[in-house]
Amino acid sequence: MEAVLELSQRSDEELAAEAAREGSDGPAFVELLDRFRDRVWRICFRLLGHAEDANDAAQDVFVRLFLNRQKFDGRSKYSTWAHGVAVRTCLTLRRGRGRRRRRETTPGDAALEGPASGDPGQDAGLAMDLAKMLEGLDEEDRAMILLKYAEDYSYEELAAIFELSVSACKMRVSRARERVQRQYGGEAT
Amino acid sequence: MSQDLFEALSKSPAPPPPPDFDAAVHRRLNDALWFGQVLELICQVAPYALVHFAQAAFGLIAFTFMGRYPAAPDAGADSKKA
Repeated sequence: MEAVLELSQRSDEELAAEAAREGSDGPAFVELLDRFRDRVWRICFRLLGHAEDANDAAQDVFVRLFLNRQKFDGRSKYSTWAHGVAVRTCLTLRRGRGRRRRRETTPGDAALEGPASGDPGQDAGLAMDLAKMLEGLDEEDRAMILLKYAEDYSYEELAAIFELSVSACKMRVSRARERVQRQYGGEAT
Repeated sequence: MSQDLFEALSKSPAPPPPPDFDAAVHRRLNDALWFGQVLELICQVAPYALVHFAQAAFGLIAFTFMGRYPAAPDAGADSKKA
């Protein structure tokens, strides 16, 4: 019990160092899994747009976090490193599957279903609109938009994840917004 | 319309991970570790073992036919010193 309490009081970086010394998925890695499960899942769900794909990707992310646990050198926060691994894993999966797979996504599977508004037709239509609008963006720009507006990431967090400067992130998000507005700003709902 | 997009993004909920997520991660992790260990066995351990076994087998065959073990690289120097 005392060991469990001690683990929960350790920082992410301390747990990462402990996990690097463990030969298997020991208490430290399990604690990290518990702390980052929801966040990694949400990242995968937002970027892949499908619960099944997100489940597969999120599991893959944690396997990578474990197998590469000794590569974390502490130069950044562990959360930044973990989220970066999640984003890159999802982007790799999206690129590998290709646009054809993404076009086959049905409205019912889309991640961007809003809260129930009492009008299923409107929700389905909005989901298709959202998916369609974002599909035309560059993969990294799309990911930035989703993380910024759906997950409320700050520009500083995005810069750390995508290894860019804060100003570069702001510019890319701004340009992506402008592109979406140019393409779809005049369309009726 | 596009402004609705960003507002909708900020309001769109994400479902929670499935209840068996942790168990699935551990299963996948175990599979990855098992695969890595089998790969290490095939690529490193087995060749090492085969090389040493082959050396022992060659030594046995040589002794059978020649009545002596193959000379070690520094055997001549040791005999001279003796």
